[in-house]
Amino acid sequence: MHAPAVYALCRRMLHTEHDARELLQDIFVRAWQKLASFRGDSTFGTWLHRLGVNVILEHLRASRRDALRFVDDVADDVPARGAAEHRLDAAMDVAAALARLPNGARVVLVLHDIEGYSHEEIAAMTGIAPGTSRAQLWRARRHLARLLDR
Amino acid sequence: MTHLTEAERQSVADGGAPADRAAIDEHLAACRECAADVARLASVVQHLRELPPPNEQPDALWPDVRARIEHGASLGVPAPGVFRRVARRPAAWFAAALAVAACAIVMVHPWSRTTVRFPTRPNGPAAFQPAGDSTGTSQEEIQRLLDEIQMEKAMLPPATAAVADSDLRAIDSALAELREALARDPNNPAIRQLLAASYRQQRDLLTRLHNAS
Repeated sequence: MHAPAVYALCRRMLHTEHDARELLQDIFVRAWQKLASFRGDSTFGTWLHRLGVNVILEHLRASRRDALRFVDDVADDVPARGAAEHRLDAAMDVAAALARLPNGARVVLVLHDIEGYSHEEIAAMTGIAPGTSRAQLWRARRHLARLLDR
Repeated sequence: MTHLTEAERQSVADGGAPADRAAIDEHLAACRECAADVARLASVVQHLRELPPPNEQPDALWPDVRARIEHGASLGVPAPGVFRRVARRPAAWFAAALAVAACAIVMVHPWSRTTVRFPTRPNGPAAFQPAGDSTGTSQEEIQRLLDEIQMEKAMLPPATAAVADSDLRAIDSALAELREALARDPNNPAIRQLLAASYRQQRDLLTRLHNAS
């Protein structure tokens, strides 16, 4: 029921399918451990989704030095699509382009434009200011647009 | 000509309605450069919002999660309880939910429209006495059970979960009637016991399934 939605979140916020599957398990194990804290203030799906975002953010922070790199950290050094790569349909292009964004930029973009969180909520979850979230979103969109143009 | 600011372009691409939207629209009608840029951004936003779910789907999630929970249990993490084996048998789970729904509805309907049948303080042999409910089920126990059901549902395949959800809605409806009755007559121990017994029956049924598997 909720697993596909949480998996989609994982897949979009993480680089690889393997990472997404690992984190999906982490999220459900964590949910099991924290069930007592679910008191029905929101729906179970909302609670699980929010927990999932937190687990993914923790993973990103802990796993790499560039865990939450933002767009301005990498300027325009995103690699161009290789000649051997096939032309994919639009949705696949977006998903592939999303995977090429730096973690921090991708996180803000996914949370805002796909998952529908506000900048205030993103700020609370990631520890950045709402204004920073907004600025990162704008840069990430431009970055994505450039990637899709290539 | 002064072009739109980045904030204005992003806001329009976002589908937002800034206070000066009329002026922005007027500018966009006259300025190809800004219009093209906004269209490009809007296309990105739309693609993101319409992004389909990943092709691959999670499968066999529960066995691995259960193994990790059980491994964690030896390290002090709470054990998963009665849902370990039932979860591997969705058909049994439906049967359980369906049976519980039927039980709950049967238990509720005879009196739900006529709560006056129950004396506020039942003191005779005619008073309703749900089986096995001599101590009353605590709210914590009930909440824990509901939490576990939610958790179990979350890991079921969507089609399976939909059926289970439908069954659980029937139970919820029956329990809602009980809660409503209790709200009208909060001091009625019979209603309180019946509510507790409904949850307890659900739990006992799942426990029996677990033990039988």
